[in-house]
Amino acid sequence: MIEFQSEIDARGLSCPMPVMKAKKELKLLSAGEVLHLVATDPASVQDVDILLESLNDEMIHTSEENGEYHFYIKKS
Amino acid sequence: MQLEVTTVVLLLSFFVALIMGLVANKTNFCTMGAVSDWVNMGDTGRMGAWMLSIGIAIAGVLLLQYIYDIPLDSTLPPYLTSNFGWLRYLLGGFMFGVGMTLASGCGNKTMVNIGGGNLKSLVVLVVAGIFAYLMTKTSFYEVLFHGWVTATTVDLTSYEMHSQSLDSILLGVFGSSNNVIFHWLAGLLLMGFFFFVAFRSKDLRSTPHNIIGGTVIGLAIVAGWYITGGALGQEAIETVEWLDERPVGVGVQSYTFINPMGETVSYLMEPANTLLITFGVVAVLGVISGSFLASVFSRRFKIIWFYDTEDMLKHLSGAALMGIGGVLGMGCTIGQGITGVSTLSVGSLLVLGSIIFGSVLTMKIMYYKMVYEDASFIESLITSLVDLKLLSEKLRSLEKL
Repeated sequence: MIEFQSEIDARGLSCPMPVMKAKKELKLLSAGEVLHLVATDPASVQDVDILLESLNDEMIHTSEENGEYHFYIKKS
Repeated sequence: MQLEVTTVVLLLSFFVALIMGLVANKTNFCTMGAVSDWVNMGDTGRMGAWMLSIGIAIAGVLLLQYIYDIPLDSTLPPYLTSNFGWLRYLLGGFMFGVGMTLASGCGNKTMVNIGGGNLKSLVVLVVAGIFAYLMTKTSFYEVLFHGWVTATTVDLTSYEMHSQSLDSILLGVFGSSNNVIFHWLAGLLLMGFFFFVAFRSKDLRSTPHNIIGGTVIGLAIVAGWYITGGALGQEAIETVEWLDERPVGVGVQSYTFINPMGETVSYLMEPANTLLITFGVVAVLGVISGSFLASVFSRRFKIIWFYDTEDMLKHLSGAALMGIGGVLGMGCTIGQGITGVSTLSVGSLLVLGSIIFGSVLTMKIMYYKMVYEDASFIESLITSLVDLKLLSEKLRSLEKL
């Protein structure tokens, strides 16, 4: 079980909403804190990768369960 | 069994569209996503892919014209018409840009999403198709748009410009008579510009899937022009002229997706009438089929429905704007943004710019509204326009993000 300090439920939302919500939330977190993002849009896999590259934040775990993508992102 | 030439054209067009759908799905080629990556994350990989596809389409069309003399002065839709409807291009493009952002994708991406199991996009197709149908087959356009479109349309022939191609306008401005040199010069300049913008992006250069996506989509546009405007396409056009019952929409054209959504609605209203199966209808079906195959083979096919009422209303309003704006601007991000620009049409360049502007502005407003939950739409709009340097910094009411 990965600990996280913040969570965004972006299930059912399409591009660009999941990544915009994640960007907003990551701005509010302190360095070292973890965001758990849940999305169902397949495009969010690539979108989140690009977001992390632009923000220099770190993906510590990803998984896919029953059509839901789970991203655990550590604020740098 | 010998197939009629018009059927062969449709089958080949379907096959190319199928490849477009397959590749767009696998490489995540998406023009709205390109704007989102750029605005929200400063990443230009997908924008570079889009610009690359335009450069390739221009190069391909220049070659096709040189080798096969494809008649671009009589295309469907008439990209190079001498009636330069600058306001319809600006407004139509802007509406489409806003619409595609609200509806989570342009016309092509909507098809790709449907192939992947996204039922929201199926609703977007139906609604955008209904509005495109209203614009093209009923008095809706006549009542709301025809008056001011006609009043603001400039007849370029009165300025000694025979069309709205970049070379024709340059010829008119510089008063030269050597149109062959100007045509090549304008084509090579525009092609060079789009290649330069594309490959200046490190994000594009470092992502092979974006390069593949942009290349294949650009080549597909060229293939569309070749199929409908080359020897086979010309034979189909001549054959149709002798028929008592003529199929709809036969002519020199390449891929575009909004008017074809209306044509698909039109065909579905009379499915027994095969004369209504147009190049556009097979383009729509082809991209959906290609994306479906890619989704199934990669085990990413997934049924997606609206998250809540707000999500549904956002998509419905976006679809309506796409349908109206796409017809008013005579094309979408693919139809005008790649296919139209490949003819060197200045109107297509205007539409392309307006689509990107509409999408960027909408994305900024959405983001401001998300971060500042109490902010009004007007505050978000003004602040976004300040960000885009279209209004004075003094008018900023929300802190810059």
